[in-house]
Amino acid sequence: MRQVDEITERHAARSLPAPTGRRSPTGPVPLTLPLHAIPPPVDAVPVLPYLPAVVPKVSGPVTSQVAAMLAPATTLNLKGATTSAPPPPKRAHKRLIVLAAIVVVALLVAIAFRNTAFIQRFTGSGYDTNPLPTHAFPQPPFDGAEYTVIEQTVGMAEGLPTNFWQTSRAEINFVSSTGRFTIDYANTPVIGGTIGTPQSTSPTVELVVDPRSSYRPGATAADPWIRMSNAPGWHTMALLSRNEIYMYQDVIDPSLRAQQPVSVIDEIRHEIPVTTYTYNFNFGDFYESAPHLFDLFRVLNGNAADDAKVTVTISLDEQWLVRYLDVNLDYAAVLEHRATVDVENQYPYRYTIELNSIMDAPPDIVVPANAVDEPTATTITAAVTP
Amino acid sequence: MTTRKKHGHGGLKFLAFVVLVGIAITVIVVGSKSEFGQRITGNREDRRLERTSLTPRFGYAAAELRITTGAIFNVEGSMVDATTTVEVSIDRQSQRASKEVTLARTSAEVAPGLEALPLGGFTAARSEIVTNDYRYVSEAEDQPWTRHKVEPFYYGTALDPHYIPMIDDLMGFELRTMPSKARTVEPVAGFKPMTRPAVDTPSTQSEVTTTYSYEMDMNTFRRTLPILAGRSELRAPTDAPVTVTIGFDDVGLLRFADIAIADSIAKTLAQELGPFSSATYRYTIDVTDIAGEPIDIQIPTNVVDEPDDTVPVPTP
Repeated sequence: MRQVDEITERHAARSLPAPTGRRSPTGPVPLTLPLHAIPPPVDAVPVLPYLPAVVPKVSGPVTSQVAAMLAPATTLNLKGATTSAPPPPKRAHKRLIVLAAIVVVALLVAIAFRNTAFIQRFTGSGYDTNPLPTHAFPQPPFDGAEYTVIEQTVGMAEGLPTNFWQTSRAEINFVSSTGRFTIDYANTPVIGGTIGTPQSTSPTVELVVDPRSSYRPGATAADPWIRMSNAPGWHTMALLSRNEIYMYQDVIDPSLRAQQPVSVIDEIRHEIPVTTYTYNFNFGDFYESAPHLFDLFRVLNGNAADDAKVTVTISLDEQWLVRYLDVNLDYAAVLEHRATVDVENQYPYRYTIELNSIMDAPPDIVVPANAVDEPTATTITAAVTP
Repeated sequence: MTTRKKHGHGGLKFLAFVVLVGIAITVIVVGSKSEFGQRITGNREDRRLERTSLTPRFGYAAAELRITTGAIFNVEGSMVDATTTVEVSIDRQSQRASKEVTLARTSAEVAPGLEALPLGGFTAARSEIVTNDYRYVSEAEDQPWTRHKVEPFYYGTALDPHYIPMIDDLMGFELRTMPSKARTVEPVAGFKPMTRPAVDTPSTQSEVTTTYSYEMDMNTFRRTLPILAGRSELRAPTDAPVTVTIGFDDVGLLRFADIAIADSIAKTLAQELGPFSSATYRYTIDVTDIAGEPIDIQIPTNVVDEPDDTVPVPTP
């Protein structure tokens, strides 16, 4: 019924605006009635507009003369127009009241239960907004990796505060548990509070390591490699394990996650997009700010006063692999607190671990076959990680 | 004609319905991946504040611990299973600690009615008092204490303010997601809600309320519990099984830890290390008391300095 009313309205609407001269979809609308259709004037008879023959609704008896001549027009159901109008105001009011009541009840329920877990799902209160995850990520599969570890220490050399570098480049085959390491040593004096360019102090040391032994080249290229037994205790196995490739959860513990980074930037490291988080805190707060990281770099313990600054930089790729890790304790504080007090020793202040690449195919690392045993003592594999 | 129109409208309606359903599905799929959608679907419950908030660090004035280490000692080629027990008292205010160290054959190794075998050069008992500057050692009551200077590297020692770690220090994200054997003292699943007292509130009677027990390999142990791995000094192949039990009290302070590997691994290692070496196979921390009041640890007066020897504070 309602649809029929609407159709009636549409037809009327299309045909009536004809005076504007636009064509109606139902064809041209005559602006005047045909002459023969005009009856002689009678008493005041209401003039009805001419309407097309197709009128959807016919009702009521035809009574007047004009109406009789223009039957289709007179069949226009004006009642229909009234039925297509909005519902009576009374009904609308009722609907509004019901709607308002529902809204009010819903609001009251939401307010009453706003602290419940279910309502908090909608409001978002009770949830932390820290974007860093609260769970661990599985390590992606890989059989080889290349990474670099740079250890920096400060100490006194020839009466001058000096910065020392030990740069270890590691290439590990995790399938055969073998690794190839090259270690460079360099130093430079700290003059005017500035660390200069590192100057290499010795030839690069090369090592090939398997679970039982470490090998270094002979004195000359013609000499055989020298084999040294690794110290018992499976330290080397740990060094050659995938544990050395850190994941998010290995460096960011709940305490560090709760810290506010001083910067978060997206950048590219070794052609891999990473997000880099930088944190600053006092050395005295290091443990409480990042206990797992402090334990990893516990060699820094005691090397500076509590108010010395520590900067931690962590780059994570999209698989949550740690692509870059840098823990940097203010070297000036280490010089002041330890190095100038104990001039015999060097004190670590900075560790940088950079994952250069991970490989699906393990690198080819050849353990020297013609090695000769070192004549003297058992030697521990060079420390690559702190 | 009217029928045709009805047919046309029906098709439009159906099309509109299909479009609406498509839009609804798209909105649901896209929306369910959003933060709001994830919350609604219950996939953000691990982001609840009570689960991500750190446990307030608990400050105590004094503590008493018992640290037991089971190890295989290589005594001139003979393997001896001995247990070292260290009774530790810590006074935070004076920054002093005392230790009573005893070494004895592990009871399972001693046959009933027989005296324990001599342990060669190993001392059966000694007392220690440690300050920030000196370590005092007494090996006999009628003799003066020996005083050793120590370097200020206290991490992992009884002088470390974090010697008794908090739950957040030990349990990282990986350990939290690992299955734990049901050994809770109270039927508490997962983490307790944040009903702990404020920081520095002393607690005199606090006991283990939540215990987690794990079986993992050595690599996983080193990765997930680095602090305890460093203290226990357990050495084993990367795939060797490790049993770990850790218990916390109601303020989140570690009250108990037990870590063990097979003693056969320690025997192998002790043999490889050679004479006068040892290899640990079990390490236990039992925090027997947390006190709100300081403990009086007296510095010995009858002291002889160790000549020209700087000895760092040993890790028990």
